Amino acid sequence: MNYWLIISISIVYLGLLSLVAYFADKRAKTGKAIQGNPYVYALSLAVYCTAWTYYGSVGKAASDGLSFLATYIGPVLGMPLWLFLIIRIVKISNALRINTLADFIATRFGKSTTLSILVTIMCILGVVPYVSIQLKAIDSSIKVLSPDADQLLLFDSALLVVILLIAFILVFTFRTVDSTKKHHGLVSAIALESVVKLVAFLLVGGFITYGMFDGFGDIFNRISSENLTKYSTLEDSSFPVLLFLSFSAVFFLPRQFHVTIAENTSPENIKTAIWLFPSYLLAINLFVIPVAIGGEYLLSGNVDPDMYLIELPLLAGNQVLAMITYIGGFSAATGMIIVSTIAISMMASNNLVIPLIIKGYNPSKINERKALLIRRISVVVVLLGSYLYFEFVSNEFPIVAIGLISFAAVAQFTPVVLASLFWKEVTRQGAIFSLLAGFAIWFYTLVVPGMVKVGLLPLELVSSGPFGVEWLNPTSLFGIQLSDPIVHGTFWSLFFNIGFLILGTLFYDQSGKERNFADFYTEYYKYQDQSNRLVWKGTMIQRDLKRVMENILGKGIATLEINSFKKATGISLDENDEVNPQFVTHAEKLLTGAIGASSARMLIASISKEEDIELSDVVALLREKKEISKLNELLSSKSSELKKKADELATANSRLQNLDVEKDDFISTVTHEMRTPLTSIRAMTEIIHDNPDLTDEERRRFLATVVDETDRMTRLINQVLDLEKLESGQLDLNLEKLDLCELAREVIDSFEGQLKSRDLNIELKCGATYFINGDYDRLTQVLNNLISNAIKYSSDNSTIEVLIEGEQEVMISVKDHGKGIESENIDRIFDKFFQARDQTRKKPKGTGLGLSITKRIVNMHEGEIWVRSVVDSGSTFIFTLPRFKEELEIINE
Amino acid sequence: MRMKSKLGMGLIAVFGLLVMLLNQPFLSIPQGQVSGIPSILIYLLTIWLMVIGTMVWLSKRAGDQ
Repeated sequence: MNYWLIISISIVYLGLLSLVAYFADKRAKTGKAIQGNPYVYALSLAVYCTAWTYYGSVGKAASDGLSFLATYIGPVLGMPLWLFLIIRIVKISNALRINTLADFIATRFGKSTTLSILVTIMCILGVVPYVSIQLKAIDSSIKVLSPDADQLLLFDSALLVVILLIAFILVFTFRTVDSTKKHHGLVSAIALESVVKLVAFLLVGGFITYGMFDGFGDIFNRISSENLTKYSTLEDSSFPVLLFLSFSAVFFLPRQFHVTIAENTSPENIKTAIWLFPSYLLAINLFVIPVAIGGEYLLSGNVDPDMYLIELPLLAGNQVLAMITYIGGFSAATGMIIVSTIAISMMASNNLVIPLIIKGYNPSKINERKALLIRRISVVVVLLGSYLYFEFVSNEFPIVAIGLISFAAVAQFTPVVLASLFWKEVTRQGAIFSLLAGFAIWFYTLVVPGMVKVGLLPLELVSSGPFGVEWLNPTSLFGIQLSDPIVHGTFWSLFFNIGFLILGTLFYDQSGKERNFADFYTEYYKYQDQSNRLVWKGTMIQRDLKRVMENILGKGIATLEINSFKKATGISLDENDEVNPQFVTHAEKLLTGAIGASSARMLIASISKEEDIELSDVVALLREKKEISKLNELLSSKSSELKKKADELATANSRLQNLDVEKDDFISTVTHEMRTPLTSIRAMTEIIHDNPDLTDEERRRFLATVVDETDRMTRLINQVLDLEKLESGQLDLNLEKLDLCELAREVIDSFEGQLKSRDLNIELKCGATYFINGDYDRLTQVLNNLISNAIKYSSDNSTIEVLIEGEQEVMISVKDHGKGIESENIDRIFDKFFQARDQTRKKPKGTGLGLSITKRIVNMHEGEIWVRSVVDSGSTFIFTLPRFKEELEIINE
Repeated sequence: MRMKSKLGMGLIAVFGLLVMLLNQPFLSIPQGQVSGIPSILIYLLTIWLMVIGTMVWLSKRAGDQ
């Protein structure tokens, strides 16, 4: 295939990526950022699938069988923990404006410069080889497509790619010093790359499986039984170790930390990523084994297994598909290179170069422009360094071997990061010793043997150990030989890593600053809204801090931030005053976003006289905070108690007011009711007194009226007295066993005269004998009231029905065929003087207290009373009474 | 979006189960082939799909909380 065509297509492809990035940035400026889309975020995570996945997985499958799957199952295994770990790390990073792994670790341990530099160096040494294998993959794939490529160019194609990628990164990233700003264009381009490499792999995989063979079954049938075993078992002891390495890598590889944490626009997006990312990994691995088997079957021994994916379409004469495969691989490699370079150069500038300049040179020389320049130079250095590594070292190793060594390097961060999130007591010294030990052993057991292989170190080092000391042999440390160099190196490096983490924590104490961040990291749910309250103690003039902010962030942003802070807190920030500690914390956070945690820390320290925050300060602060919190709680509880009392008081007051109105109403009604008969009595007696010539008949008639009215008054007074007794609880019941039917009969008999005069009839229906425990006089009064009411309201010549029935309780109903009660009055019928107050209808004879008294007596007997009524048809008053206890027991038996 | 402790325990349990299923002796159980394809591959694929399914379900549950 024509070399220049391949190069042209590569340039066009990068141009397309640049266009996508440009439009994504443009959209973001108009507030329509596509980076916030959870699918774009999830796809950007697939930067995990590099050229190692694309080409190397096939190579690894062809040589070792199924163990390559560990690289993808490891991240899948970790998915359930994402909702714990990643959301927690995202929230902490957002709160503290952290965007690199070095900052994340260094901040947790009091913004330690040592840790910041150490982590950065580890990342650079671990990742540069990894970037170099991407260049190797591009270079190898171009050589497969165009074998004469090397002779056509003054420099090789990998260098050309490096130059193009440097240009792409410099154009689309690092335009402002604030590294917490999201790179919308970059993330969109990476998401597109993920789609391109997946589609390309599926196309070529599908072509090989179904175009060159007859599907999965056919491919597996073609391999020898010896080779089939390779794909049928997973008893390789390295599998669990590889699972662990890839599980760690997906969290802590700098590029993964960058896309997962630094470019995360919302923790909500993680919920989509936890299913879309494993689905992506499954899809991209679907055809790895068929391609590996197909390559072994058709190309065995002739070509590098890493290149089967391109060689097979070429063998089938399908140049177009070979080109698509190349684009997919190019996409996988460039995506990884771009993100890794950004992450590493950000760490190199913020956590290595700037701290060294501040420490060894002059803090005031660092400003926004220089910080950006350092970052841009870091990009060039990282990419050129990777290119040199590719030229001189990585050509000697298979792609997968270098990838796994990188994985083992970042796995060294796992114990420290997990401890920083879940072990509050872990100390800075523990973290430093842990990383130093782990990294040293990683280098000795995994990198040194490689250096021996390429001739940089003498062969004796791995054959008989350094200076002939066999137990120090880097391939069998302490005389222990494990199945695989990766297993060996990972085991010993993590063994020392964890061991020193524990020892360093046991033998050293945390400083006040560390404790401050330890609380924030391990209990961030408690403190997530209080990141500004992290402790700072010292003296500094506001003007100096403002100058540093203007230098690093730019004058516009610094002024804006100072004004926003003033407005939000109400704290005045006069330039000549002592600085406010809360503002120092805020400013340091802003500076962290620009130049990293340790550089920000050093800059603040360079312009202030800081005092060490002792444990006692932190404890005092915590105690004070705890006390304030306790007081707040107490105040809040007292306040709610007070509110409850006030509510109760309001209710009581309203009840009192009602009672007062009721009392006035009552007095007015009673006096009115008494005045009527008194007026009548007075009128009658005056007539008798003033007219001595009245006939006996007339005199008798007038006196009869006087007697009637006197009776009425007596009745009213008796009822008022009864009601008063009932309401004040002074009325005691004389309970005895009563036959209710007998009682009803007696009451009905007492009305005989009245019934006759109105031509009324009372029908008593009493199906059985009903004994109750009641007060004879009071229940007589109840029945009297109800029957007299029924008589009063019944039409002449009608029948009143009295029904006694029931099982568990006795139900007595008195039904008349009178005018009935209007529905709106039903609820008020048992109110005192209701009848008397009802001025809309003709006032019947009575006091209006009877039903009220009746209800109270029934209630005192633990019964209920209610009324059912239909206008013009009549009313039924029903009340219940509990049955006599012994009788009830007999029934229940 | 603090995880409810019940959901948190569930997530850890799923992780523990996966670690168990992806290690010995469970990896030695699938033997032979099904329609020419090694059983171990089908076993791994099934676990993978189960994880995806569980994650879809969990993401919906976590979304509700």
